[in-house]
Amino acid sequence: MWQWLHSWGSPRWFYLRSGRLLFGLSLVTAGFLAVGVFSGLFLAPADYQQGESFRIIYIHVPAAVLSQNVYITVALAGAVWLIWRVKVADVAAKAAAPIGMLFCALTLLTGAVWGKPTWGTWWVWDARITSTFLLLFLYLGILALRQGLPESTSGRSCAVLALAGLVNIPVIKYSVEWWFTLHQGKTFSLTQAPSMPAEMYWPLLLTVIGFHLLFLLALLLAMRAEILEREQTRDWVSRLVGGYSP
Amino acid sequence: MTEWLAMGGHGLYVWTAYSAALAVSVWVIASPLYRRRKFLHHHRRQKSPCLNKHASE
Repeated sequence: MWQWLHSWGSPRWFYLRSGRLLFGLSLVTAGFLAVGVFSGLFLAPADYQQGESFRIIYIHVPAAVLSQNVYITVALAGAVWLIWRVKVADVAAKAAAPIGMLFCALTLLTGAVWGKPTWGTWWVWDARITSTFLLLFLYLGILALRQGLPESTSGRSCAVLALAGLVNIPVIKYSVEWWFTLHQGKTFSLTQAPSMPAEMYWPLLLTVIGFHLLFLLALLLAMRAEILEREQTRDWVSRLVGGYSP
Repeated sequence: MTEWLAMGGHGLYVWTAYSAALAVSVWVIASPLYRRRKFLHHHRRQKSPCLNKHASE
């Protein structure tokens, strides 16, 4: 088991093995997203208070959950890099951060276009919105460090910043309970029955899973591109390039 | 169809959200593919100039 896990830490092994997963993963991702988005747009009934604009939750909630999970991934990968110096972990941390940043921006944007027709405002400095905004800045900080520092030290600095910023994650999660402000409470729970009818709930579950699969796919692709660039002087990359036919 | 697109008057909001999501999804998949392709093209060219000359003719 450890041997197997250890072999994934090698960039070459990771590159070659991950290539075999891409096709299947793309199909499953496309399936979840297609069914989820279709049922969210066509099958789910309009909300009795929000009307049709509630359909934005099929983007907003998955993007919000994902942007926090990607952040946790960046921090954990950073920790693995700091502690065990596993090269692939640093590649993962670097590849995941821009994806998380985009989904975090998508969360804020979709929240704004939902807030306008529903709350009557694009933006309020509510606890959850503010902490999500802070998450975006943590991502931007990590990306800036990655860009600005030399490659020998950027991994370490990014990992430290990502780990320090981890305190913001429970703040986002509990913000709707600690401060009773405008943003409504949690949409889902692993332990309680859904608070909405099944035909509204199932599309949401599908898009949440679909977004996570999409992240996994995007992460693998970005890591593969990063590994090639980092290992370009190695023999295995030369052989791979030699055998490449466009 | 037009009625569905209008989303009960909230069409602009709903479609802005869905198009932004589509743009993000396409970007996160296409940009690493493009980066890898560019890498392979560039290095293949460096490695085998004859092959490349052949291809451009």
